Formats: sequence, structure tokens, C-alpha cells
Amino acid sequence: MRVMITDDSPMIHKLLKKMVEEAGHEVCFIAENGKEAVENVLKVNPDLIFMDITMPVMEGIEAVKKIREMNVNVPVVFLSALGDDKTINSTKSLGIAGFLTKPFRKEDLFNLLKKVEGENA
Amino acid sequence: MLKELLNCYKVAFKTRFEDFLNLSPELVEERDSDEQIDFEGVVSLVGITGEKKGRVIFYLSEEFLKMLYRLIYGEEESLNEMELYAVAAEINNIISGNAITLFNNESSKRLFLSPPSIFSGKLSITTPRINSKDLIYKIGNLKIAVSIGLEGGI
Repeated sequence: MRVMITDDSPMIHKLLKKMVEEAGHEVCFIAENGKEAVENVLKVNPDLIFMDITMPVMEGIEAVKKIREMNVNVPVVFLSALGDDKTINSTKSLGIAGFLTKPFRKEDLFNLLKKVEGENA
Repeated sequence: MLKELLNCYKVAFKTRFEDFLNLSPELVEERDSDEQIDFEGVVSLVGITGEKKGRVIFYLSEEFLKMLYRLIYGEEESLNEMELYAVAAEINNIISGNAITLFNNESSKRLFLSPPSIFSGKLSITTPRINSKDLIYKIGNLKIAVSIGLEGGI
């Protein structure tokens, strides 16, 4: 799969890229905020987006709403340190493929990648 | 409210370090923050927004950040400043995110976080009109200070 990472943390870019590649997938684009993801999603056409929630310029939930308004139904996995019940509930109407709380375990990430790959097949 | 938030930070700090990094942080001191703090090293600041305003400051040494980097990436390569700052930003973001998650799930109030900011060098930090507590942790022979402050305080 071709994976887009949207996160403002260079540490998460490096860590996630390493794990995604270890699982046999390709990181096709790294966006540093939601606006960059919205602006590039059609051009990049990823199979999966990892989306942080708290970011400068445009936060993740708003970015996914805009992506859905563009009729792009790419699977999205939210990846956030903030994972309270209200935040998770507010992402459910966006048709997301998963929610990973930071810090995440490699096995949980691999399982999610497998699940999304299976659903895309 | 500060007391409840402080408890959430204590749980988040201990569990995240133990579960994900196999480190055992020891809380060695809890005290009221001084109005002005002089510090040399790396400071990571996250703002608290939502139904209450505040801020969380992590005071971190370069040695501690290097140790975290090695544990997270399993690499011994030499680090540049930006990589150290990225670790400082994310450690505050993760601990604060987890603490605010615990707080929001237990409280009728809802808090959010701003993206982290990093400062380094010789710093003098003053945050008036805020009530703040410091948690001092020891991990091995390294110390970390976390200052948690809310407008209106306790």
C-alpha cells in the first residue's frame, strides 16, 4: 500500500516511516499539517492516511472532513496522543479505519495495516 | 482541578515510561512552582486550552533526550539538534495527551492541547497569573522536571 503520513512531529515521521516500510508498504507523502494533506491527497492518491489530530495550521479532524467533502474515501487511521471518549466519538462519523493512541506498539500498527490491506483487496 | 490534573499526569508519566520504554521513573519531589524559573537545557511547552487554560512545561537535559532517542529508535548514531528537539516536543505531547485523555474521561470538563513549542539554551521563564505545581522525577541518575499550571489554579 501507498501510505500518507500527516503529523507535525518529525519524530513520528521517522518512526512511522520505519515501521510502515518494515511492514512492506511505501510512504508516498509526508504532510506536516492537515492543510498539506488536503492539498495533496488527490495528487498523491494514497491507499491509507495516518492522521494526527492536534496540529498547527489545520487539525486532523477538520482535514478529514474536507477530504470527505472532496468525495475521497481513502481509509484514514487517526494517530493521536489525545484519545478520550469524546474525541474518539467525534471521529466515528468520518468513516475511519482505526484510531491508534500514541505511543503505539508496532504490533498494533502492523495489525491495522493488515486490516486495511484486507479491506482494500 | 489542578489536583485532579496533576494526578492524571502522575499516572500518564509512570505508565507511559514503564510500558513503552521499560523505564521506572521515581517521583522524588512535588512542590509549588517558583514564579520565575532559571534553567539551562531544553524546554518543551504545551498549552492547555478548552474549558480551562494552562500550560505544561517539561525541563529536559540533553543526556535524557539522547537516552530517549536511543530507546525509541534503537540507534546509536550521532544526533543533531533538530532530532533532539523533536524528541522533546513529542515526549511532552504524548504524556500531556495521555494525561488530558484520563482527565477528560473522568471529568465533566473538556480540555485540549496546543502543538508543542521548544526552547533551548539559558532560559528564564515567568508565568504570572497561573497556579502551578512542579513534579520532579528521577530516572536512573537523570532528573526531569514537569511544571503543570492552570489559570485560576487549585
